[in-house]
Parts: sequence; C-alpha cells; structure tokens
Amino acid sequence: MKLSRRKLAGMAGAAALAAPALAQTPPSPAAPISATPGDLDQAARENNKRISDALAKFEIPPATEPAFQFKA
Amino acid sequence: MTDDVFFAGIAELNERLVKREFSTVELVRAFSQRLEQLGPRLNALALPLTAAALRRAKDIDAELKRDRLRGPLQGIPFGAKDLLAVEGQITTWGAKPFAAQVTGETATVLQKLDKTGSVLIGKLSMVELAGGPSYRFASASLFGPGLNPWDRTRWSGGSSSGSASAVAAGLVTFALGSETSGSIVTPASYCGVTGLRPTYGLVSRHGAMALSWTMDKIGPLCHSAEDCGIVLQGIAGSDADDPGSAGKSFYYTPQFARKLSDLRVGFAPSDIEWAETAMRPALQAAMHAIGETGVKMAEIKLPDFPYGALAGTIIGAEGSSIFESLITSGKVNDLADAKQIAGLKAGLEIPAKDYLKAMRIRSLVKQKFRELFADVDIIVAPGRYTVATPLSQALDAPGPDQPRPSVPGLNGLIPAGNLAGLPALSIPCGFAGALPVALQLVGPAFSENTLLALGREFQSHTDWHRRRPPMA
Repeated sequence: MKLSRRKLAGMAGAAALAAPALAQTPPSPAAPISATPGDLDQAARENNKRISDALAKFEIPPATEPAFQFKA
Repeated sequence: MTDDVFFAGIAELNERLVKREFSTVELVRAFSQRLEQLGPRLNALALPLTAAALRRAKDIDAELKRDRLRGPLQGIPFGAKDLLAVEGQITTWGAKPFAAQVTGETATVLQKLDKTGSVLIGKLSMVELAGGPSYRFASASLFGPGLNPWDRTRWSGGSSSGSASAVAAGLVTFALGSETSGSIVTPASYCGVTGLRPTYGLVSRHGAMALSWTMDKIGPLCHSAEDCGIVLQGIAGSDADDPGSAGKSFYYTPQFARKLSDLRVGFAPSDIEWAETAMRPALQAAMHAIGETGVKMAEIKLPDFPYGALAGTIIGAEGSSIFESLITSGKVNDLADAKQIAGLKAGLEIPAKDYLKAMRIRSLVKQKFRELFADVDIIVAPGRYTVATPLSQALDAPGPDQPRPSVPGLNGLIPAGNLAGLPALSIPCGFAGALPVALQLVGPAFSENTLLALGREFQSHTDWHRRRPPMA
C-alpha cells in the first residue's frame, strides 16, 4: 500500500498522540558509583529491555518505512 | 605578535597575513608552541603535527608572496578531533585499543581544508570512540578527562572535548569536531565557544571514525558564528566516498541572509525553569537579546517522542555493529569507561525489530519537525541545562536538586535534532559564576545560513564569545 505524504503526516499525528506516555518513561536509574563491571553489564541489558518495551508500545502505521534508503 | 592573535577571528588573521604583518610561519609557530605548552594542561592535545605544519606554512607564505590568494582560511592554524584520519599519522579515536593505529588516507574534510590553505597543527583529544553508546565519567578517554579552561576542576564536555577546550583557550583558531548526539553542542556550551552541527550529509565523513552511519556529522568549533560559516563553506560538499552525502554544497552568504524581522523563532518559556538555577539570569537575558534582534518569538512544544530511547537504540545497534570485532575479541575491555564497555557489549544484543522500529519512528520524527518548521524558522533553547559538570561527577547522576517544572521544555532537542538530521548552532550567552552558558539555535535541514545570520546578529550585540578563560 502506498501512502501519500499528507496521509502519512495525518497518521504521524495520530501516532504522536499515543506518545506522551512513552516520552515520560523514566530514564534508566543511575548505577551506584561502586558498580562492578558485572552490575553495569546487567544494567545495560536491563536498559535494552526497558527501551524495547517502550518501543513495542509505540504504534506506527504499517507503511512507515525506516529512515534510511537503499539505493541500487 | 601579541596574545590577541590567539583569539582573533579567521578573516582578521587572514587579512593580517595578506598585509604581511606577520608570516604564516610565525603564526603557525606561535600557535604550535602554545598548543604544545597549554594543550596537555587541558588534556586537549592528542598529537602535535608541528613539523608538517611549519612545512605547509612555508608553502603558504610562498603563495602569499606571489599574491596567490585562496580566501579567508589561507594560513589559518587549526586542530582536528582525533577521529579524523591523517595519512601516515596515528589516529587513536580516543581509545586505548587504537592507540597505535596508523591511518592510510587523509579524511575528506582535511583534504578540503588543505585546499583552502589552512594549516593543521595538531590532533585534539576526544572521548573514546566518540562516546560510543554511553559513558559514565569524564575520564572516558585515552587522554584523560577533558579539562575546562574556565575551571580545570570541571569537564570540557564530550565527545569533542579537545576541539572545544583548544578553541576556548586560544590554542587553535578553529577546530573540527563531530556530533552523533550532542558531541559538538555540549562541549561548545561548556567551554563557551561557538559550535556548528551541520545538517546530516552536508559534510563528508569519509576518513572519520564511524559511530553511527545514520547520525554522524562533522562540524566546526570556532570563536564566532562568522568563523563557523567560513569553515563550513570550506568543508561542505558532495563526496562519492560518503554514502550519506547529501550532494549539496554550502556557500556562506551573510549578505543574502533573510531579514531577521521575517524570522519566527520558537521557544518554550518553561526552558528557563528546567535549567540549573544559577544559569537562569543569563538565559533570560539571552532570550531577551534574541527577541531584540527583531525576530518574532512564538511559543512551541517539541513533538512528543521518546527521543532518548530512539537515539540510544540506533546509536547502540549501529555502534556495536561497527565495533563488533573489538567487542568479540575482548579488546573492548581495554577501554577506560566500564559503562562504555557494558553498553557496547549490550548493543550487540539489540534485536533487529527494535532497531527497525526506532528507525521507523524516526521517519515520523522527521515528518513532525517538517510540520513544526512550517510555523517557525528557528528553535531556540539552552545549549545545555546544566553548566560543565565537576570532573568526579558521574554523568548519569541525577541533575541539580531543584523542583522539576510540570510543563515540558525543549530538553529533548539534542537527540531530537540529531535524529531528524537538523543543523544546530551553539552560541555562548553568558555565565553562571565562572562557567559559560549557551543557547542552541536549531533550524530545518540545510538552513545553516539562517542560523548563522541570527547567531551573527546576536554576537554583534553581545561579547560573550570574546571572553577569555583565566588560564589563557
């Protein structure tokens, strides 16, 4: 399905309406100064998971293409 | 030659060279000595290139003698962030695992500057791997923490740490830095210099370390908006060797700038409350000064997206892919910052679905900014909401202990502007105690001349950009 820019913009608006909750997702908590490398590895993985959950909640129109282009 | 030359603008220095007030060799020798003497005191110097610079300066003097004039950059000494390759020289990317890396081909931007006749006198320090996905301490660099010339117990900002501190301390007339998400705007704000993040694709990244193919930009840090325009003209342009190249040139044309009274400038009043208390008087006065230039001010809101999460996913996934062999070989553990190491490892585990989702949402970000720029021509916001952090403070520590405003400000503008590929100009606008405070001006893609026009006008009525740090 091809979408016009105008329609895409309208859908973008709808998606943005769903965004406030995500935008307010609390940032990852600061690790204590004494954190060990193991703690930081764990914290980095948990941060990935937190971001992944946040992105999963963000609804976007199926026709939205990623912001890069392959040129043949 | 007086100390004034170390803080003079590009056009003035070039004019004095053309008038033979001093030679290029004399100028380059003076700057090189200063860079070698004061650079290490700021942890700003990665590699002096004095011998090559003096040889080049001699050639430039011969050209000037024959009246072969190349333009305002001819004979001007500059430094480059140590992620830009110089043929046959060590390029460390600020990271221990690359401390002995000798690069082959000189980066396109440096080749372009060579054609303008400017003289590279040294490589400047940086945060390791330009910050990678994240880092925790100012010490995340092969060269040690970047020290702020205004207060050496404070950080110079990252990741273009040495580029900003060297310009602020008058060790080079201008420097090249790079920004993936904040690495020009942050050190420019903290060090009180003028920094320009160009539109994505306007300046070639060929020969520069890649951190994020879709977000990396190279830009100048200078004493003024005027100088940023001159340098940008020298480095911008199409490059077949950079797949992200926009195929556009840039001509700095202040004489054709739009009338300021035609410009609409968007701002968020709550931004002042989001800033650290000590910064507020300077920011308030600066916003007032922007209004006094004749522009029309309009309240705006930033489109609501999880900018931090988007930038983190994209930089994390692309960066860890770029440095996959460093990570899997275990050499990543030689980096200085434990959070950087952990972030790079975790970046390899970011699922494709998250990266693609982030890149798809990024398309919407771009679209929403296009709509916002139908209402305003420029967005103005604080460069940073805190002054330069103490060296020992963890960068992920909570901000100052003060009540948070209930209304959102524009404090997501750095990741937002980078995700959308927009240009930004950071201009010094005052002090909080002894530390610089800055504004950032952000515009639509390829609006650099408009940003520079407003920056130039602001700087014609203020002298914050002319202040010199105590150590200088």
